[in-house]
Amino acid sequence: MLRDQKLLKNKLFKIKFFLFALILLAILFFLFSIFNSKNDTSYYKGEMEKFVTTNSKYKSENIFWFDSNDKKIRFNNYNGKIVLVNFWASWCAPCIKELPSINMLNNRLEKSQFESVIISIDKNREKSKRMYDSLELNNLNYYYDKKNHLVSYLNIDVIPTTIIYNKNGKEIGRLTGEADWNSSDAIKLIKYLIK
Amino acid sequence: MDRKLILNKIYFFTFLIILVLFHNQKTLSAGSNWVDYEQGKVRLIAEKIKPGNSEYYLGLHFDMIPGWKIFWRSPGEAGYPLEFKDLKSKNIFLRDIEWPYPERFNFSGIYTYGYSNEVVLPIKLEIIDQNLDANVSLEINFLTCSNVCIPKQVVLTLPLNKENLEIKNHTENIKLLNNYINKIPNKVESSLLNKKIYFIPKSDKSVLKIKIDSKQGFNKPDIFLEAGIELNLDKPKFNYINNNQQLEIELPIKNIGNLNIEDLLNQPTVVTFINFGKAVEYNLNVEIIGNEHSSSKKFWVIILFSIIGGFVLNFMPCVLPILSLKVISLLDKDLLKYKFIRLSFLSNILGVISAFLILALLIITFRFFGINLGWGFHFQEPIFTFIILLIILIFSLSLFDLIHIRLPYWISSSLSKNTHNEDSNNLKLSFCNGLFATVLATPCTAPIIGTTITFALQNSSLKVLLIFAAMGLGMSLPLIIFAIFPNLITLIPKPGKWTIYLKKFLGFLLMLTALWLFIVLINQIDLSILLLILGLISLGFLILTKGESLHIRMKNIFFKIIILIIVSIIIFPIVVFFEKGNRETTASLSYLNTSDLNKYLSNGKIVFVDVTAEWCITCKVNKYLVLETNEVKKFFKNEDVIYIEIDWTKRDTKILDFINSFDRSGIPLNIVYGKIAPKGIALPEILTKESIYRVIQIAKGSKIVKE
Repeated sequence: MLRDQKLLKNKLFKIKFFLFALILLAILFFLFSIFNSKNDTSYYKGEMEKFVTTNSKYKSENIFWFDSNDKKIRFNNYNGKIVLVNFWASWCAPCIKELPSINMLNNRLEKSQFESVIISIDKNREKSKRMYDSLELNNLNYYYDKKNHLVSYLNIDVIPTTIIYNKNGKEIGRLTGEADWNSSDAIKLIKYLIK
Repeated sequence: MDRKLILNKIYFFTFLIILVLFHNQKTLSAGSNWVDYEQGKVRLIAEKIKPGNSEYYLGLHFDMIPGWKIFWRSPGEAGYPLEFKDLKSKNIFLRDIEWPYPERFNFSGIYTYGYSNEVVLPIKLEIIDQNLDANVSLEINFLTCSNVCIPKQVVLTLPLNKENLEIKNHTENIKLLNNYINKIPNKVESSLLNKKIYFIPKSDKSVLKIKIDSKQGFNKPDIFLEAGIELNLDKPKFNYINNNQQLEIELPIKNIGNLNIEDLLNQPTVVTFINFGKAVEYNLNVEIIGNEHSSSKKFWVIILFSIIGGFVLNFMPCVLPILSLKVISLLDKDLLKYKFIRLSFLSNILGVISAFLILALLIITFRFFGINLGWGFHFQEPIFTFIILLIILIFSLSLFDLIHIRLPYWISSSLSKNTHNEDSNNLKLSFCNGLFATVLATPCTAPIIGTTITFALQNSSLKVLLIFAAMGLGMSLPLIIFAIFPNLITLIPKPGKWTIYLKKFLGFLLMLTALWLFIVLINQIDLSILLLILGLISLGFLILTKGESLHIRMKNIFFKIIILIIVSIIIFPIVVFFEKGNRETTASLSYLNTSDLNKYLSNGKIVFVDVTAEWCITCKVNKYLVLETNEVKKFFKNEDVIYIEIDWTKRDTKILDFINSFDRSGIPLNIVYGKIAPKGIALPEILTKESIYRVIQIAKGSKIVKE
């Protein structure tokens, strides 16, 4: 009888201990996740303040655009890298202002890990090509969104809009409006995303 | 308490209701309903329909959230104008939008033109059959921007049935419409204006320049230019002249690197000019001019330039030794009183300024007789160059302690060691030192000096005097500082070995100057004659000097004078009469007659004219650093450039006339002629490779290719 009681007590203790450990673990996990997520958003500051993480339903493997020779460029070509896709137009002053900073950014990071793509949404392709030429963006190629299919698929109605994709081609987030992509804030964010 | 709260609430709600009512009233009374597009709202308004009248104004009324804007018909560097599409309008005929004049927006240096807050874009409309109902239905596509840009599409409809409009019409709407109809520029026949826009290629930023007259003056003027090509212009610079009756506007071109200049010149450019809130519009042609007229510069600016230019002259290689030696000469007498130092510097300053005034008087006098003199003209007289050469030679030799001479004080300067014991002499010497330094400075054209002298030569005698006096003041600025704070001289270390070395170095600089003058002379008179004269002179010196090494001493003063007279009798005629004959380079000016020039230019060739002279140091620097580098030579060869050098070492009125025709008074002067610049484009005085490349591309009328 006494032995039974002792056994029961032992069992109860074991359960209690187990529960306690579980709760502790849960709290730890919770704290960790909070800490982790805090760590995440702390990169969205300064110049990158407007960067918003998205849960986009648009699959990047489907998307494509065109180069100046009307050759189709698929997003798949960029898999395995962090990709920054910037939508701009020759008629958009904020876009023209930020393009040189994207050009600089592309040069500052390892090509195998990161690449920037700028896509013009001009209906007048010649005009946007001229603007691209005059800006002397040596580290970026000229691409354009033929018939604006891409902006309507990706639901972009404001430019400049910049989308960042992770290594698997999943959309991480968007930044609407212009930003200095050559700033330390931007470099920190991209470097964090590369890791 | 409760009651108060309830009352407050009631007040608030009534306020809200009134607000809503008013808001509704506005929409009801307007032409069409407001269409909200997030960044603002837009509606159609119309004039009242009157019987017997078929033409009306329709207005696109925008009410934008502050910070957002829409664009003018020429949006500037970014943006696009609003466009409308007739959807299913009935019984009407719509014309184009008549654009009210815009405002200028600056987005970190990117200039765009458009409207913010509120605007009405008037559209003329004709009712085809006035007995029937009419209906306007439009789809408008426009861009609205602040920190981001959003393309928008809005559909607007407005029924124009007679009864409907008469009830709904609002005097407020008419007022609003008329406000903006008044802002539509009045078209002016350009043939009445006899005006042009001048394209002025400059080394830093090329500009478009236009002059506008207005008898009633100017009030918040602004200008917008629309060329047939994509032209990005910076904010205009306004310069008011002639008692505010004339306005000179300069618009810097930002995208000159991507511009096809020929297209700019061949197409009429639309000018929208705003004054007193009213705008006029006319077409003008753009003409290239290679030289900027300096008449627009304000007189005090020129005076300031003169002072700066004079100051810069101090650091020219030919002047630096003279003035430094002056300071060193005073170091030897550190026991002297400040009062004396002050006086010494003052007389030096006087010397500098009087030299400038003498130059000015010479220019004015010669101008009176119809002879134009340029900057550095005296170096075109071999006799003058020769005397200067002699003096410099003697100075430098005395600095090397090679000869100990005691020349008459009016030739020597305070640098000569033996003179410092006589105070009055020293003052006179300081004065001469100042004169001399100025004379030597004249061929060293600092870039600023060129502008001011050109300005001076175009102006009244009084202004010439003032400008030259200002230059003298500028040049004596360092001296003035010493004169005011004579104790500064104690800051300089006591004379010792370093002064000896410095003197030697300065002597070396003077030697170089002498060598340069020698080369100038060779170009003016024959080498053999020059050598002969120099030989004679040095012989004369050997006789005259009392150097210990030679032990030749002439006791008889009369004998000395006789020798001096003989030497001068022999030398002067030789120098004067044995000038070199016409050199082939002088003749090269004849290549520049118009028929030959046109022949070259019509063959697509570029003509590069370089007016230079042996005594022009800046020209030499230009040659060495730019014109005679392999890079530029290769470029000239590739571009099929005909290089013509005009030598102005000797006086030549034809060359001077040529220089004056470019609004310059001195050299260096480099001119580029090309297909679209048959009158020539003058390059800046200090050449750079880039400025040459750019101007040649402009003269060809081609795109400027970046090197």
